Order: sequence, then structure tokens, then C-alpha cells
Amino acid sequence: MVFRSEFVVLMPCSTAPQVRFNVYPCHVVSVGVAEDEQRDVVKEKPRILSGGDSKFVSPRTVALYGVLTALTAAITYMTVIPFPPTRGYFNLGEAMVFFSAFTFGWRAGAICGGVGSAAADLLAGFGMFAPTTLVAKGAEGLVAGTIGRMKGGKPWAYALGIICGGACMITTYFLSEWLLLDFGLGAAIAEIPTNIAQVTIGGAVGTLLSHYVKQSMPSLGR
Amino acid sequence: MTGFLDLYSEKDTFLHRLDPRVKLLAVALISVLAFILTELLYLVVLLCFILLLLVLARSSYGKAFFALKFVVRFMILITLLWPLFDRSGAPVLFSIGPLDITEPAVWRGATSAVRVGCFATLWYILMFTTSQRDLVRALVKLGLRFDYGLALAISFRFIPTFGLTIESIKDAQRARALELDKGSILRRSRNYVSILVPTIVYALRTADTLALTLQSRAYGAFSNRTYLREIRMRASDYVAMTVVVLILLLPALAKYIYGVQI
Amino acid sequence: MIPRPDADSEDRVIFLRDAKFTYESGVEALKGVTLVIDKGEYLAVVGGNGSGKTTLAKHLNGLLRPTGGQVLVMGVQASTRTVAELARVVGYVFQNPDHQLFCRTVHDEVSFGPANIGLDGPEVKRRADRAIAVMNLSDIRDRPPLSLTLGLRRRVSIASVIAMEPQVLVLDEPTTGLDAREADELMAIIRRLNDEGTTIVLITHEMKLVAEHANRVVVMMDGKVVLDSDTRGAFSDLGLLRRSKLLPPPVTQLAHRLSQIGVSKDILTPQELVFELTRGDDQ
Ligand SMILES: Nc1ncnc2c1ncn2[C@@H]1O[C@H](COP(=O)(O)OP(=O)(O)OP(=O)(O)O)[C@@H](O)[C@H]1O
Ligand SMILES: [Mg+2]
Repeated sequence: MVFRSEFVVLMPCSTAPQVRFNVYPCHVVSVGVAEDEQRDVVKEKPRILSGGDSKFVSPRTVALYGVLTALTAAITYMTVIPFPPTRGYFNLGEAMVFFSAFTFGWRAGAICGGVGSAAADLLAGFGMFAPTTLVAKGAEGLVAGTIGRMKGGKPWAYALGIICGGACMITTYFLSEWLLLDFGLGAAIAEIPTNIAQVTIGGAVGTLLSHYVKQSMPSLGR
Repeated sequence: MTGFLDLYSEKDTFLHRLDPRVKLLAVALISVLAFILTELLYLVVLLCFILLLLVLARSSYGKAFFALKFVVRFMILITLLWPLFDRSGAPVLFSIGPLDITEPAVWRGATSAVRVGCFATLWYILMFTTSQRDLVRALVKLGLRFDYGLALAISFRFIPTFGLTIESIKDAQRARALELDKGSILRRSRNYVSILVPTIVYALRTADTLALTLQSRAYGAFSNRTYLREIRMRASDYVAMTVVVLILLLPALAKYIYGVQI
Repeated sequence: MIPRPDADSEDRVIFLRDAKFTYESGVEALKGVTLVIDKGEYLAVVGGNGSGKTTLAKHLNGLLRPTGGQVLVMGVQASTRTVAELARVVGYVFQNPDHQLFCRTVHDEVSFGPANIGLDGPEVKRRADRAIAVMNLSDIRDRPPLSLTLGLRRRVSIASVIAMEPQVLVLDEPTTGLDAREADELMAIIRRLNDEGTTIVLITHEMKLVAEHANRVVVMMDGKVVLDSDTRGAFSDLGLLRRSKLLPPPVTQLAHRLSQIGVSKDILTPQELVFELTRGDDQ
């Protein structure tokens, strides 16, 4: 019971006795906590709410997508391992695309991969690449998420997902750089090896991450 | 790389005041223009015009230098790479071993480089003069659903936060004798797992709290929501839009209707 | 502030000589800190928010390099050693345990550090087992560390650092967010480590812990050490503490208030106050 204008303090029972000396006239509610209480983490699989009076996706989904997108961008930006050719950076952003796709499905993979990587391009000043990146990484996440989670995520499905997703990404970049941005065949080809390395390593790390995180947070589920 | 260089800076120029939708349109249309121009001279004129805009954006010297460094490096790279793969055309300027460098290829390389310079600089101007908030607002106004817009806004908000988290986690693992800058790319990437896992777990917990926050602040309670700040087109925005459309339209007409070589 | 004359170089594990540090953003976080830490000390570093405690601590294991002055660890210039090398000597426990934990089990987590410093299998296992025993984690050694409560997660993170058997253990606000019992348990374990010879550098905002555990207090303000004395002496100058945005523990404050009736001002624990007061009754 809480009364109007009351100052209520919630605290663990072992700290409560000390508070009696506090100067505030307050009402202390001690709450016991089970020793091995599991932390509440994102339990629900992200999904579009159907029905109800809201036409928006659930707040969990908004928060999850927002956070995954930010993560993808931050990791793309922060884990640069210097490497010369065109775009000038080798990074682990790919790992986040595969992680999102394998852990939360194709929709998360496509949105967070595409938007997150494009945002990283914008912020790092490679804005010219942002539209291409949006499509390339979005397709990568979408394909990897669809194929990788087939048959409940068997190792071969992951591998196939990485290969197909990576192929989409590399092809998109190549075509866009060659035909749209008009870098010339030379520069467009020069980037393919970096991208292949990025997909291989990103795919491996992304799969590992998905595995590790699911294990550390059992509540994430499938 | 520590921290983020925020490209945007708060200024009061007409480029800053312009409706973000018009700016997005301008980036798109001027890019199309750069795409259809094929004569080096006209592309150089266009690049000069874009550089003039860059000056008018009054970004700090540090940021402008950062941008130009990237653009110039890129242009040089393209100029150099182009003739290596395009060996058509008559007068051979010189040969490096089996490679013939021809004059038309060099010109085409330069043309392509200037074009790419136009693309790149345009985006810099957009990012120099448009806050992330305005960018999201513009996208929502252009038809992005509010909830996805919100997710986008959330993500922009959290990018620097997660950047700092990653830095801090990196330090925490280095304190446990993890060496990140040693070994092959494969080994380094493997080492990054010990940084990425805590980062992701932290982020997912953030998402959890955030979901509750959104709910407790009545997210999605009403389908027809209102906004505190609306972006609205003003007369000057319409003028700018017309100018941008004309900038594309006139050369396009000249090229495709009247067959002028540009 | 001045290196104590009795600090003989054998026992000196850490020596900062006029260390300065400026962040890239231009914040001058350390403005010339001179500090000697001897073997076996239990040192508390206190100060207001942003006074430079964490910055100072990060110099001890090379995470930050001084932009001026020197940092010597075991008599060796810290700047000539990598963080990984320094980590064997100086263990640093970050404030947020979640910044360290990523393994599948507590045991794997605790083994990570020893494995990184290139020890062989049996030695890694020995050290991990010892650290787990010291931190009372044997029951949960196979649980995933991230699903534990905050108190346990913090203990795992400390275990994962002491498994490298460092001579100096730096703890950045180890009790924030813990309830009284968990904090007491943690502090008892740290006490035991200190008794066994580990030098402890405790960064904290809780003066009660400082009063009960530390044997030396360093007060920081605006990137400078403004007071360096034994714990009793540190709490006698209320004015200085207040300027450093600090408050002594309530018992000491009470003793200061009672000083008119003859209670001495350097009371650190309730027991001492009771003793002091009952002694007063006798007279
Ligand atoms: N990574 C950083 N980049 C720039 N400035 C920083 C950074 N970290 C800390 N600072 C600044 O350096 C100063 C000292 O910070 P520090 O973290 O050492 O303080 P602190 O005593 O540990 O504070 P707290 O009690 O809040 O933990 C502050 O002004 C802070 O804003
Ligand atoms: Mg601190």
C-alpha cells in the first residue's frame, strides 16, 4: 500500500536496517531477492504484433532493432583492422550482420545489417557508399537469416547461409561500384578480395558470437 | 580509433536551415546529374559547384580537411587504377612491361575520378549540415513508418554509447592480458570475440530496459501520433527544390532531347 | 603527497613521479601525481566524481600511458612494458563485471587470464581452481557467469583477475550496486587477500569501507593528490574532505560533533565510538 505524497524506498532486505538512521521520513519496503535469480533479458522473439489496437511493432522489437542496428554500426566503426584497398577498411561489422541474422532471424538480419552498416558508412564519412551498403548488407542479412536458420540451424545451414549471403553482398558491391558509382572495373575488382576475407572471417566470428551469446543468455532461445 | 568524429556541426547557414528532405533530394538528383555527365570539363564544373557548397556549409577546417583527404585519396586511386584495366584506344602514352597505358583510358579515369569526387563530397555536405535527428525526421516524413523511425533514432542515439562500451570492454580484457594487436588477421578476429560477446550481452540488456521504458512512456498507445517538432517546407525550401530540379533537368534535356554532347 | 622517507625501494611496488595525463578530448585528468605504493599496503583512493581516480588506476597497468612524468611498476618503467606484461603484476578489476564476462562457465572465465599470459595447462588449472576457491565460487564453477547475480558476477570478475596472481590488485568501486551482505562478504575476501600479501588499491566512494579496511588513504581532487595519510589522519580534517566533495563515515561525523564533550575526532568504527563513550562514563 502506498499513500499519497509518501516517499517509498525499495531495497534489498540486507541493506534495509541501515536506512533507519536516514534523515528522510520515508517508508522502507524491504524486498528479498532469490539468490540465483536469473536476469530478465529479451525473451520474446521479435515479431510484428498482429491485431490489438496498435499498428506498430512491439516495443521490444523497436528496442531490439534499434540496439542491434547501433551495435552493428558501432562495431563496424570501432573494429577496424587496417587494410589498404578501396574502402580502406577491414572490419568486423560483417560478424554483427551474421550474428543478428542467425540469432534473431532474417528480418533482424536485413534491417540491422543493412541500416546499421549504412549508418556506419554515413558516420565514418563514406556516405557515398551508404545506399549500396544498405542494399548489399541488407540482402546479406536477409539471405543468411533465411538459409542459416533452416532445419533449426544446422552447421551446414550456417555455412550455406554465409556463402549465399556473402555472395549477395559481394556481387552488389561489385555491380554498384562498377556500373553505378563508376569506379572502373579495376577498383571494383580490387575490393573483391577484401570483401571475401571479410565475409569468411565475419561469418565465422558471427556464428561463434551467436553460439556464445545464446549460451550466456539461455533466455534468448531459438 | 577512439570515439566518433561527429560530422555534423551546429551552424546557421542556408544549407543548415534547408529542409532535410530537400537536401536528400538534392543529393539524389545531383548524383544522377554526375552520373549522366560524361565530359570531363562539365564534371569539373559540377565538382567546383559542389566544393562551393562545401565552403558555404562553413564546416570547421578539421572536418573539411578530413573529408577532402578521403575524397582526394579516392580520386587518385581511381585515376591510377582505371588505365590498368581499360587498355582500349589509340595513342599509347607509355608502357609498363606488358601494360599499355593509352591516352583515352587516362582521360576516362580522370573523368570517373571527378565523378566519384562529386558523389563523395555531396554526402559529406549532407552530413556536415544535417543533424541525425533531422535525418530521421525527414525519413519519417518521407513515409518511413514511425516505429521504424523510432528504432532508427534509438540506434543513432546508442552508436556513440556502444562505441564507448566497446572501448571500455577492450580495456577490461586487455587488463586480463588479452593482446589484440598481435598475430594474423584470423587470430585477431578470434580475440575480438571476447570483446564482442560482453558488448552484445550489454546491448541486449539495454534493449530489455529500453523496451520497458518505451512501454512506460506509452509507446504505441495511439496510432495517430502527433510530433512536437514538425518539419515544414518553407518558401525558401521550394525555391531550393526548384533550383535543384532545374540543375538536373536542363542538362538532361540538352543531352537526351537535343543530343548535345555533355 | 611527498614520497614517504621510509619507502625503501625493495618494498616499493608502484611509484608515480609527477605523472600527468591529458585525454585526447583535452581534459587534463592528472595534473602531476606523485605516489608511492609499498608491498602489502591496503590503499584507498577516494575523491569526488571526475577527480581522476580511474585515470590514475589505469596508469598502474599501462592501459593509459602518462603524457608527462613517470610510472614505475616494480622499479621498471611501465611505458616499456605491454599491458599484457603488466597484467601479471598489476591486476585491475573493472567497475562493471559485465565488461569482462563472456565465457560459457565460471571456470572457463577464470582460466582466460592465466591462459593469455602463456602458462601451461596444469598451471592454468591450478591458478583457476585457487582463484575460484578464494572467491568462494566452487559451487557455481560450471554455471554461465552472465546469468549470475551482480554480487556473484563481480566475484567472478575478481577471481578472473586474481587467477593471474598479480602482486597488486586494483579494484574500481567493487561494491557499487551490492547489498550490505554481499559487500561485506566481498570486503572480507579482499581483506584476506591483503593478509596473504597482495597489495590492494581500492577505489571507492564509500567512506565506511575506507574506515574499516584501508590502512592508508589518498584523496584526489581535480587530478591532484590533496591528501595522503593513514586512515585515522585522513578523517580528522573535515574541511579538506568537504572541499574534495567527500564526507567521512557517519560515525566519524558523530565523533566530530561530540568532540566538545571530549570524544576524540579520529573515530573510525562504531566499536571505537562505544569504547570512547563508555570510557568517558568511567571518568
Ligand atoms: N575516455 C575519456 N575521454 C575523455 N575524458 C575522460 C575520459 N575518461 C574520463 N575523462 C575525464 O577525466 C576526468 C577524470 O575522470 P575519471 O574517470 O578518472 O574520474 P573518477 O575519479 O574515476 O570519477 P568517478 O568517481 O565518477 O568514477 C573527468 O573529468 C572525466 O570527464
Ligand atoms: Mg571512476
